[in-house]
Amino acid sequence: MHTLDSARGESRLVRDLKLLGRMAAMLYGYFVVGGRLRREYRRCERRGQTFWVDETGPTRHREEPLRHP
Amino acid sequence: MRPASPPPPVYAFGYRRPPESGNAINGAGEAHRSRARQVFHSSSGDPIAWKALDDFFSLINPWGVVKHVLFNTWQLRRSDGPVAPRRREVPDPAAMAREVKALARELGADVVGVAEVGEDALYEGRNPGLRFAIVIGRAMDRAEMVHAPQARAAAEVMRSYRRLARVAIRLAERIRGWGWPARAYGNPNSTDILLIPLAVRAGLGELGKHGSMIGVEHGSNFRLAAVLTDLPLALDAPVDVGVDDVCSVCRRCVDDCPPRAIFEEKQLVRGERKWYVDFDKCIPYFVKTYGCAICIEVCPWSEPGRGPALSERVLAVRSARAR
Repeated sequence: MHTLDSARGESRLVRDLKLLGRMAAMLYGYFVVGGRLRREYRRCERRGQTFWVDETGPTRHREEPLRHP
Repeated sequence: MRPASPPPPVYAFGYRRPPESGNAINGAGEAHRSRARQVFHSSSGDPIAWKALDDFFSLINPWGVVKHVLFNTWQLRRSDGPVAPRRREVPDPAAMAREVKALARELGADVVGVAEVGEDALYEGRNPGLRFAIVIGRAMDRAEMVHAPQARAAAEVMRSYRRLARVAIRLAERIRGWGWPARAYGNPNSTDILLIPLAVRAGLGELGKHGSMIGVEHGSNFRLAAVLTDLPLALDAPVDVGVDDVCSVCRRCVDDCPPRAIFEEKQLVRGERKWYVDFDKCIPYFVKTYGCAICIEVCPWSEPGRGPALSERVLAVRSARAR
């Protein structure tokens, strides 16, 4: 018996490996995609321009690992 | 504590096509009761109107903040799990609640209370299917939080959530070991429950003018998490420590809020008149400053050691006026 359906039928190892994979993607997103974004945003800040979050913004959410598959 | 020189509410980011007003999504001005809707933070992957700004926020945060999010993400894999097949009998829910609260404090919670999970604490379309909420709070390091609205304070916020999540995870594990279902909610962006209504009902404090909780011991300088469970527990009652009396005359957070997002009067929100913060003004500044937190730190209740005396004085004044 598990508390919620989301916890059912998955070994701890599989759960942890899946999460590690998603966290690796999250780290990539933060350092690579986010690095580009932060540089572009700082450039906009310096030039008095606007960084449009709905046009040039990120595609990955930092909490993606917590999302249900 | 007043921030020395907070950055101005001028933004180098924005929406080309602005989403629906967050105030409309939050139900500001709505006279009928309804559940809260997701608008900004979301951990479920469900579409939210302000997702682009939320994503932007997550990526401009400094590594000192993000590392705590990552560590919390990793430990929250244990938020749920198998329940022991043999169930511990609970003949006395009041004694059980005392035991659970003592355990939560032993694990690291500073404040703890029990509430029933009601409609007002659930997001639209969500139902965790568990009846009780053990709400826990942990004070943040004031020496770090006085640096709000800077990254140093933001790091302390996420560090506090991470530590508190650990308490919730261990508490939930213990309850599952007793044969009762329990799930830890240590993610501040949970898409199932709203922690503040639960905490108010669990007697941890009252809703303040700045839209955050105010408790007697720590003011607003604390963070919340919860364990949802079916373990039979005696419920706590909401408290009246005089927050409303103070907030109705105090202007500290209103005056110190750079984007002027805090209303002076209570607002009608989803059928209830309550303190509410203008989402559309607050969130851009929140994003720019990695979580701001000015309002909760300038709050007089947040000054260490001041809360109990303030509450006593305010309640005495109210009582004298009533005579």
